[in-house]
Amino acid sequence: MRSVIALFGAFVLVAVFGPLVAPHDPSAINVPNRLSSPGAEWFLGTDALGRDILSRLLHGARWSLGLAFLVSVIGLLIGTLAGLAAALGGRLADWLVMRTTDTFLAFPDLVAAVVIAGLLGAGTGSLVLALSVTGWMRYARVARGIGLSLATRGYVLQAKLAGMSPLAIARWHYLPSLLPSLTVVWTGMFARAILGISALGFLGFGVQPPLPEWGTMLLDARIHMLSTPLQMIWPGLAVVVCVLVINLAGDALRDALAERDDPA
Amino acid sequence: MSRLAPFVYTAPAALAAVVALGPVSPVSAGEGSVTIAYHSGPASEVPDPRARQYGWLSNQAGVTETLMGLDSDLQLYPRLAKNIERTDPTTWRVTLRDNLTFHDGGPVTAQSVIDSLLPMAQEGHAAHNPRLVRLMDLAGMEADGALTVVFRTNSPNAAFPWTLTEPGVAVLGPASEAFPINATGPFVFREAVPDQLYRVEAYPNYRDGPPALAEVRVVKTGDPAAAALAFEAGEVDLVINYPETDYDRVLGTGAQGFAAPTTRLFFYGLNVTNGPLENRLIRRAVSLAIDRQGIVEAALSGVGGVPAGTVFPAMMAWAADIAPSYDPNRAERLLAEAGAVKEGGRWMLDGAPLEIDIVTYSSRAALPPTAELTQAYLQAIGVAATVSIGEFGANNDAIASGAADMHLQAWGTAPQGDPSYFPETIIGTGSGSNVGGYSNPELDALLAEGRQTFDETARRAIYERVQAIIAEDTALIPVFHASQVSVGRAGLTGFAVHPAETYWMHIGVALAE
Repeated sequence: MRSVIALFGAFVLVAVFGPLVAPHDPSAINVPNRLSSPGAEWFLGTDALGRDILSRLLHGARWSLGLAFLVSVIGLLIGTLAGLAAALGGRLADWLVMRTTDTFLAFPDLVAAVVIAGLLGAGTGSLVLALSVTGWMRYARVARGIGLSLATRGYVLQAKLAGMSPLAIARWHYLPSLLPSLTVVWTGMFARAILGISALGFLGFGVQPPLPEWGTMLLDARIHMLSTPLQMIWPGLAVVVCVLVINLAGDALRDALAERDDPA
Repeated sequence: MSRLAPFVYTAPAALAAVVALGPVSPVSAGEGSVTIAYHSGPASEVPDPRARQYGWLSNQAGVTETLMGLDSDLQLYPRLAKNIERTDPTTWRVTLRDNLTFHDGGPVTAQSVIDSLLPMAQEGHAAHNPRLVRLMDLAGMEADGALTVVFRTNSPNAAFPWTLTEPGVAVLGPASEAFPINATGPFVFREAVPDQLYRVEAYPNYRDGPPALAEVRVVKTGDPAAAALAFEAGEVDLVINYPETDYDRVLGTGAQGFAAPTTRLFFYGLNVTNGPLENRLIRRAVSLAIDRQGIVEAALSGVGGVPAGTVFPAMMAWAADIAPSYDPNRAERLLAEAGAVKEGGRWMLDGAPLEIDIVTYSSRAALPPTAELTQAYLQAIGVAATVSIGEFGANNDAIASGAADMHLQAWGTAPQGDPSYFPETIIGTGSGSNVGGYSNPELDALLAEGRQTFDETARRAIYERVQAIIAEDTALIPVFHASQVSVGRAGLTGFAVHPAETYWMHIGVALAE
């Protein structure tokens, strides 16, 4: 548990401080040194335009993890609000919100994100929008489910009888109960967002050149995958390890919460 | 129902199909099948070769033929024609070869040539092609006997015989279910799956003898890296436009390389109507800031082309002697002359940072890195630049709307071997492909004069001046003249890169087991 959290923390630190320790300018083109093998000066080698792969990975972490964080938080906010609206807003609101949620869930999220990003055009803004629009539904379901179970609890009924507004009830009685479960969901969605951003970047819809992002690094490297496979292996490894660590952290968090709720 | 019933019902149909296939069934002309990976594919189940650029694939696959052809030195030769003769400035007499037949066995006559070309001018017809109609500029056609077609043009048109090499000016016979594309080439069209597959089979009765191959399959592979992987996996036998950066490695595996210069130019089309490139000095500065040799080395690994200073490659007789220039210092002087001011290492224009938005697409491997290198070269002199990788049509829209300034693209500058086509199409005032809005009356007048001048020496002088204006005014920014880099399996014989890129298959292409 501790080691997983430490690894997770390490990735966060890389995303925040990585650019400060990057040995080279990630966009500095150096044609004579293109496709260099790993060595003392270029620790992980250079790409097709002679740019330092390690520096691009470190800078790319900020884009990959930062955008994934943004997307997953936007999804968390939209989904939680939608779920609470369904739980607290009466039968009509519940029906409307949940049918909308079901409709969104009916589309494969990555395909829908590709369509949205394609319609809006390549770019960071459309990438965030596309993944946010397709990433809120799981939060809504969890929030609505827990919200409905809370509605019959005595302290909630008392709060209603005491004349508290639905907003106040949501703020003081629902959110504290929702947060642990939503946090576990969020870790999974954060990992999915990293994969989504990398996938859209690989398809050319994401961060535009020369900014480094792990998915776009994979895209740039694919043409060299047979001659210099390390070009693809480094960013691929970064995505895989990062997603794995986040998923393990999510599992650990879930286990810890289950232990807290049921110590026996 | 009897178990034999299906056979009873299907046997006549099968027999009818065999009869309908006539001279091409059973296929006995050649042996083996070749699968080609190409970045473009058919647009429909029966793409009419006369429409849009669909004729390229049918010409490349050896299905359709044109009246005139281009040899490997880009010289005209009579293909379906026996000869062509200009009787006055607007009249051309084309005499067909004797005993030509379509794939269905029908004779190719002067009238069938006329019937084939007429629909190109008919709006709403599947063969409608306004681009070629404009290039041919026909006032009328008539048959003079069985084998001579008399073409009359609206005005003197020196490019007319060259236009007859354009793959879209294909000679087709009446279509039928068995022969939806009833043409004259060594291969018969058999099947097209939109955006996926174009399949042809040998035509054993071809006039020059049966093809060595029984079948050719052209598989659309939009991503060059995917084409390389398909070749590695043995799924394709020939990759047209193989990624240049992997060329050396794949040759080391025993594959054959086919690399030769073509007329293809990688260039920047410019938005000259709004934005910073409206100013000729800034256009010139941008051009001078680009290290074309660096691009050729990095993006093409030294095998994909040579730096370009003008639109036509050196192998063409029309090429002007204009060397590419790389002079960042002069570029900065021109920016200052244009009124830009350098503050903190960045050029400012009218109080705002000078920023150039570059767009390109990714179906050719060299395009994205070329755009990124250009971005770096511009940033090196203090000009901010962005790069967006999108789709060709959307990029053109962005140029037309002013959302982008430079569109990196790759065009064959002389698919018909004549110098008139490319400048007229790309920078002629009002041309449909002139999305950046360039207009230069002197250039337009020269282009009109070039089209009407039959004397070759005089014509060459005109197009030298055209290229000089393009360079002086930076109507577009040439980057490099591309070679076609293709890779084939060991045992593939008879294939060669054609400089016009419109010819692949002929009866001599074979694949040994």
